[in-house]
Amino acid sequence: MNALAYAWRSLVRQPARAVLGVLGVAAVGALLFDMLLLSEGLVLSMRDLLDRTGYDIRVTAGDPGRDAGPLIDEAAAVAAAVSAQPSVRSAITVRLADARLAGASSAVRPRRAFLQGIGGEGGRPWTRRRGRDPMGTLEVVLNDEGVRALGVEIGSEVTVSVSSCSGNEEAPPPVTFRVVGVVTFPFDSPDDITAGLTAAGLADACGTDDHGVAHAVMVASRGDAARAAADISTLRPDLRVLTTDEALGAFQEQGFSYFRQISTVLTTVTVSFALLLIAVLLTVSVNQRLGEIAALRALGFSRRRVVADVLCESALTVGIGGGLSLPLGALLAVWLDSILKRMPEIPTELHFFVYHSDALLVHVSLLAATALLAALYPMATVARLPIAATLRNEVVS
Amino acid sequence: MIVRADDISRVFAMPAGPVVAVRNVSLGIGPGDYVAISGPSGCGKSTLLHMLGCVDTPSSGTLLFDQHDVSCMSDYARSLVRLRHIGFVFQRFFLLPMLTAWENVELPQAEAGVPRSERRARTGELLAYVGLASRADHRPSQLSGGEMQRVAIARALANRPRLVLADEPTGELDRSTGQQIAALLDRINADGTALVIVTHDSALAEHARRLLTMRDGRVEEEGGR
Amino acid sequence: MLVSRQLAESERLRVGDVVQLAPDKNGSEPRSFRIAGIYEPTPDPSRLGDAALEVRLHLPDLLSLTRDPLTPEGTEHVESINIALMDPSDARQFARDVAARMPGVMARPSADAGGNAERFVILERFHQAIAAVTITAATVFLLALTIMLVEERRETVGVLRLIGVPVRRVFMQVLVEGVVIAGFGWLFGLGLALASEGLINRFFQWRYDTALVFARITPGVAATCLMIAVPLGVVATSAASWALLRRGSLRLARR
Repeated sequence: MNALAYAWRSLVRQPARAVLGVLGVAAVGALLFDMLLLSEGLVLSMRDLLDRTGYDIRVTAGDPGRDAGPLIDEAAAVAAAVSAQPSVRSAITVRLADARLAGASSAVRPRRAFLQGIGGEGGRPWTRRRGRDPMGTLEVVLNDEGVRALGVEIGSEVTVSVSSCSGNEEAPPPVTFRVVGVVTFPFDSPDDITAGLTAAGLADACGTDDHGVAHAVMVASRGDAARAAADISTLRPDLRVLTTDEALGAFQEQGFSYFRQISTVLTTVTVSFALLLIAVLLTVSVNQRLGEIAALRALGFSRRRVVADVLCESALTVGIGGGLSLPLGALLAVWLDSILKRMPEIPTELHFFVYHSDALLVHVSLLAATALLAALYPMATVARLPIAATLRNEVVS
Repeated sequence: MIVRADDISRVFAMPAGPVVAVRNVSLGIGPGDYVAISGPSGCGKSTLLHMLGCVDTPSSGTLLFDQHDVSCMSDYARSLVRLRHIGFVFQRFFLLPMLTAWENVELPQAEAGVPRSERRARTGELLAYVGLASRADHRPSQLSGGEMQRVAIARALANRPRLVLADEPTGELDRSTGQQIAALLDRINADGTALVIVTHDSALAEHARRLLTMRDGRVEEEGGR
Repeated sequence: MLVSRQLAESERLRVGDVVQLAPDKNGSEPRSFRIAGIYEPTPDPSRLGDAALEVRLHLPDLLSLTRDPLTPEGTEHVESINIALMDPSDARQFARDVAARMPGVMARPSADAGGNAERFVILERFHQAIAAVTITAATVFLLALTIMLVEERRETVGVLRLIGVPVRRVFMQVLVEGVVIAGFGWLFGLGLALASEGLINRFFQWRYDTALVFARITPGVAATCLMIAVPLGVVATSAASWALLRRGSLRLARR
């Protein structure tokens, strides 16, 4: 009977204790796994959303701060000049506005919406679900919430009343658009109504003639975003150029840093907790069997063998519990993610807990280290066990 | 000579001062010997037994097992000696409660690297030898005291030791059961295994051919039949 | 003007320094201001991670600095007016009166103005969820440990039962032990939490350069922990003991 088989028999000798030990490791392991998912989850999810737009560089006139930020004058010309760069595949302009949308039915009250006016020949920064992208000036695409809330469909008319449009201080008259498609915007929150138009369409809705202004130029590089960004900065040093990596770096430092910190703190606490509890379980288990262990030593079991038995017992408890912790952690992550996603203004497609292979690797490594470290003291106890004195004590007691 | 002790002593360092458990003992155990060690509680019987069994090492003097100085052996080497050449029988049996009688007897053989087929044959033979072939699948909690001690004896014989050491083998048993164990020990010795027992039981001690009486760590007299 | 501590450290500013402020990033039409003091910005949890690079001016100075040339003096607008009442408990009534007398103006008590409070409510729920999982894991381990510790006493309990000590007496003794152990455990845990509180706050305050308090052990928190820890300890001990005491005395005493 090798050490692992012996350890298994030792473990199942008290099934209640073994099951509880394994379940405890599973629960702690699940929490540990989730904290590892959280440590990079937001960044990975945000990257995914940014990538879904199809563009990896953003050019703005300044730091957007908490609103859309300043307009880029002659944004269309900027986009055209940027598109001509060898390192750039395509570029579009994006102008933003707030508006109230109303469907044809008077029974449905108007709703607040965000507008995106897109100029240029590049792909649209949304995912088309049905219909087509707007091509004409008076065409619009809506997200699912917009279609549902306004009671419209492809072919319906919606009235757009812009309430806030940079470049025009006066409220413009409402303009009627036709819905030509239903799309998904990557950064929509559950209750957001978002509409996509052409740049000319948004300019008309804003009551201005200037189709060329925009809040941002979105750029798709030919693979080397850093190089493309450098080229754009050289072309227009007055504009702010941010790659997806740089944007994520900024998010990491500010908005996301809390979750990284809490993930690190909780990972440390969880591992320490598991280490302590497994060490206590093993130590008590070993102390209850000292006579037995001394007898095995007297029978000829080497010190190395009895120490290996203890290590295997730790490895089995942590290994089985660790295996169970993965599906448990996955379920727990769904629950915790659903709690955090209730925060206001969190995009529907953004997740806090995202699986990545590094998390699994670190999880396995941490559990393995925990199994080893937790077994150190009981292993030392067993290694140093005075055989004769222990046998004597067993008889006396 | 299997074991030879020359003027060995064992001193334990205690907070109240050193305690000399065994004092200047010399003796030899040869093949087929049957030695009983008796004496009052605390006279050093078990300590002497542990030293003879390479569980403990003397504080002074020379202890040779198969002509090798035990004090010069590593812990691992002493473990191998115990595994392959010595069998232990304890007063409290010390059977592993989560293993069956069969598995308890098989365990030392597996540790010694005996092939599976040989282990099976040997284990079956040993359980039949001690009269417990029908209880092979029972756990210790399902056996009587006498049955547990017989399994322990079978375990001690697992790797065909040259020497079996028994510390109060009938200490936890009633007279009748004790007599059964004594008969079994006789048989083991008759089959060629040297036997050293520590016992308070005079009836058991009478089965031995050499009787050592200890007092205050010394062997005071040696008798025999 | 006053500058925030963070800005002073970032730009190496001192009281008495004269600096220039301009209303746009091009630095056009700058005006000079003397730094009269350095202040610690009120910590704002919703701006965690944002460097508090800010200044405070007299309102007329700010309006003068940022006024559009086409806007006549005296017709500028401000975002909000903060009011400190003689009696703060009048806040709601005062807000209602203001709203009634000045349509278009939104007045509300400060306590209701936590627009970002929902985010922190969600975070609190998140922390509670983590705590629930941790307590569950701890309870499982606690049960395992108490089963082992009670099992250690199996023979003793068996002998007590054999000599006639009633089950209830043995159970009560174990229960009392469970309460004592749980009580000491709670005290130790509280001490550990108080020590950790200081470390956590110091770390995060350093990390985010803020005076915000991140962890606080209030009497309420301590009481909640006590109400969870002691009953859990008692229940775990009782469950383990009950499982043991159900067995027959002979079975317990047998080696």
